[in-house]
Order: sequence, then structure tokens, then C-alpha cells
Amino acid sequence: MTVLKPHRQNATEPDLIPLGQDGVLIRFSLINDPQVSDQVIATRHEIEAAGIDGVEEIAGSLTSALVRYDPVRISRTDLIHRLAKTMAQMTPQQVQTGRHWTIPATFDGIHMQEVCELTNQNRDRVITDIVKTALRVLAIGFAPGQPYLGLLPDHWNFPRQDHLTQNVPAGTIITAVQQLIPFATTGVTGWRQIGYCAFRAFSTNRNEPFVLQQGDMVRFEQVSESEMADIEKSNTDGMGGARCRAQL
Amino acid sequence: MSGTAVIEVISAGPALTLQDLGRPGYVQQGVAPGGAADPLAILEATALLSVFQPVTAIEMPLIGGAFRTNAPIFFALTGAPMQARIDDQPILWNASHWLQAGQTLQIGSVTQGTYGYLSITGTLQVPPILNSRSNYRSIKPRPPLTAGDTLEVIPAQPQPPLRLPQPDRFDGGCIRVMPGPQSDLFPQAERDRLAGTAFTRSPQANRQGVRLDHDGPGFLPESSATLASDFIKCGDVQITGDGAPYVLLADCQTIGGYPRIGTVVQDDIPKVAQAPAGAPLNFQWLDTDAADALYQPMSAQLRRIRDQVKPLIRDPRDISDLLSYDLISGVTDAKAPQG
Repeated sequence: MTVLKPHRQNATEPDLIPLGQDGVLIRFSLINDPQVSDQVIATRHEIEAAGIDGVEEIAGSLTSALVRYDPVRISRTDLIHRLAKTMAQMTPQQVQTGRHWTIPATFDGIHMQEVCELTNQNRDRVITDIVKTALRVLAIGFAPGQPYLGLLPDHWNFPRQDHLTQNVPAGTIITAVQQLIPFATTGVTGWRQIGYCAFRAFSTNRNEPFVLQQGDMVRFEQVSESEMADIEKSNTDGMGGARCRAQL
Repeated sequence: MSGTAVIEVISAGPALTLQDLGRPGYVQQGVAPGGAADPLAILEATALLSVFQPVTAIEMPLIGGAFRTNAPIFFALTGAPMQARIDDQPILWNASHWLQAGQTLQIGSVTQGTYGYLSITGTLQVPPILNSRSNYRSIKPRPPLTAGDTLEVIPAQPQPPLRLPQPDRFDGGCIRVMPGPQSDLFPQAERDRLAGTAFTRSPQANRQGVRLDHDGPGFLPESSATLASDFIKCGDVQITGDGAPYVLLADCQTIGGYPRIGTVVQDDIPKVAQAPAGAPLNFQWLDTDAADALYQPMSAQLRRIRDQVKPLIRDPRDISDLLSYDLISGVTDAKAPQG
């Protein structure tokens, strides 16, 4: 658990802005700011708890919370008033950091050498940074269920590549701007590929197609090639050996 | 009518997918609502088939396909008009018809617009994923249809064919746009210029979005600071690196990093999606209050469309339309009595 300060202490007051005819975006920052991640999660939970009639969906990104509403049931003006009131009543609180996950992984991605150079350390240290960092699910997006995990130490703050790589396989662990992503489906990315896991963030082959929630914590655990091969032998549910320890 | 009708796909255009009104409610999990590129076509089909729930349709971009059935099926053709006939008989678009066992429904190229829709009455034997049969990225309740595929439906009750007036949203035109979370990043002069510019729909377009071409410089935000990726939605007018507007459509992602100058109002999204390559498009700004006042829930839109439905009767006075009517399996068909 982390202690959250009142949301106005560290940031300017969030902007409440239209996103389409049925949306209000509560934006804490225009640029990436690790400080606002806690505020987004706390605000999202607070609005959910407020149970405002007419609110249909609440989602959190790295820097904002999206409130989608039914304009027949509540007007934009009334909704903004209720949201502002709800947020004004927020007090310092303990944020549930969600569940803790451990995901087995190997680290032989095609860009490992480049990442060693970018972070100015050897492969062992690169892997140590990854497995020792408790990563938070900062946001889910880009592909169904796909988590943005962060943040890695400051020396991982390098940009994505200039060019895109096609057909990056599902399960590839990619990195940029202090974040890691276990790629949810085969596709295109400009991030660098450093590892692999058998975990699939979205699968219709299990009762819960989505596993991770914003705010969950994730640690990668290094396994050998042969251990990974064993995991893949019985991986129809796409969990890839991931284990969950609920928050105490 | 009982049992299952098996519909055989004899030939298929390149990207025939099942689409309904999508799966709202999963943005937190990285899943956009998705659904039909032209949701109005789904509502029109729902009215033409006289069913209660919005239907699942076969979405046909530019080119349709040929279909045969082993039992009578009742279907609707909506969205972008396409050349369509049953065996050798041309049939009316934006209408519902019967297809009898052994007959072939042939749907050719669009004559206007981009996305045509074939909807078939009855329960389609394709299990939904997250409450929808729409394809969205890795979520594929049913892969795109190709020649040789079959679709099973449990047909609905016999009923008379219906028609709707031909809609007017297939040639581009004026697109109303409201301010969004990043509009203020663009100087007022650039926002004014957006509304004063004549655009054409670029050939570069798909279910994720439509690029717009214009003469003159691109539209640039004031600051070049790296924006955090934030929520995007269908209708957002994204400005890509070269300054060209790109209107996001149903299959856009949930989060994106390009700045967005505004958001197309819900009513005009079908017009953007349907505009064929080269069609003229221009923007008109609405303030938030004016845009909000236009909002209509799906139920109200469907009610408005149902009110316009008329029986597909043959009247000799409509002689110019006569060739377009279904002379074989219309209301006089003994196998399809009015129920």
C-alpha cells in the first residue's frame, strides 16, 4: 500500500474537459508524470464509490480518468458539478495497490544489447533492474488487456525507436520511457524487444479474459529457456505461469 | 419456420466481417466499443427486419459477395448502396427481402459510399465475445468471411418486406466538430483554418480511421512537447506528424499519443466513414452546448428510423423503380406470407 496525499497537494487542479457528447475527461497532466498515477487511480475509485446516477463507465489512463455518461440521465453541467464535489471531498487515504503478480520471463530479446548500451550497464544489471522493480499497471490500452508497467529506474528513460517493427510476437517484453509491456497480441511496435513471457494479458480461453487491473503490481521472474518451454507446453489458458498474491 | 438455415458464402469481397453496435464498457481494459463503421446502417437494418434488438450485420467495404441459402431467409440491405440482385432480378437497396432456398443473392460493388451491410433475420450461430459479435483487433468472434464459409441462423417468423427512404450520407459534405481535450493546444487561427479548408477523403482509410487531404500547410499544435498518451475515441480528429487530419473510426485504439484538434459529433460519424475516396469534406465547429444538444440515444435514433419504414409494395405507378423491386420473393411469395 502507498499513502496518497490529497490530490491537489502535488498537482494543479485537474481539468474537466469534454471528450465527445457523452464523456468528461478529468485530466491531471498533459505530459507523462509518474506523480499523477496515484491520483488517477484514487480519483477513479472515488468516483466509482460515489455511484453517480447516469455514469456508465469510468476508466483511467496514465494521466487522466475518463467518465462516460448517459446524457439522457444526467447533464454535462450536473455531472461536472458532482465530479468536482466528489473530488473536493477526497482526503489523504491509502490506495489499494491491487493484487501482486509474478510473471515468469526470459531475457534474450533482439534489442537486449541496445538496451544495455542505452542504460549503460551489462546484461546482468539490466535483468536485475527488471526483476527487482515492483512494477505497477499504470494503464491498460493499445490492445485488449495490454498493461503499461512502470516505472523502471531513471536510466531507463530512453525513447521508443524511430521506426516500427512489424509482426512482433505476442508475449514479447518490450520497453521504452521507463516502462515495460508484455505484448498482448502479435503486432507492430516502436518499442525495443528485450524479453519474452508466456503470459497473455487477454485470452478468451479462460473465464476471466482480462487478468490485470490498473493499479495491480507486477514482478517479472527470470526463468531458463527450458523452464519457459515447459510453461508453454501447458498454456492453453494463456496465464504463462503467472501467479497472483492478493493484497493483504 | 423452424430449424436452422445454412447460408453459404459463394464469393466474398476482401474484408467481410460481422459487425453489430460493438461492446461499450471495456475502455478500462483497452477495448474500444468498435462495431459497425456506420452504426446507422445497423439501426436501419433493425427497422427493416422489424426486430427488437439491434442486429448483427455482415459489413462489406466497397465489395459485397454472393450468398445462397438452403431455407428461406429474410434479410436487409443497408448502408452504402451496392449493385444487388436475387438470381437475375435487381433488388432495391435500403429494403428487406426474402431469399428462398436455392436462390443466389449477389451483391456487387458500391455505387455510392464505402460500407454496405447485409443483415439476416434470426439468431446468428456465432457466440458473442464480451457481449458483441464485432471483430476488434485480437477479439474475433468470427474471422472475416471467405468463399466456402457457411453461416447458420435460426430464422425468424414470416413477415412482409419493408423499405426505407434512400439516405443521404454517402458523398461526404459538412462534418460538425466539437472541442476536445486537446483543442486548446492548437492556436485559434489553426482551428479557424480547419473549418475554412476544403478536404477530400484520402484513399488511406480503414476501420481505424480516415485520412483527409488538402492543399496548403498542415495543422500544427502550439507546443511540440511530448504529450502523454491519453484517451481517444471514435470521431476524434487526430493530427498526425505531417499535420494532416485523421478522423478516428470504430476500430481506433483506446489510448493514443497524437494531438487531437476536436471530436466529430456522433450524428456525422457515418458520413465520414461512408465518404468514398476523393469525396469532399469540410468541418464546422460547434461549441460544447450545441454539440451536446444534438445528442440522441440509440433508442431515439431507432424510433425515428422505424417511423420512416414503409411496406415494399409494388405499385405500377412507380414504374421507374420497377426493375429494382424483388419480383420473385416479395410479399406475394407463398412461402413468405404476411405473419
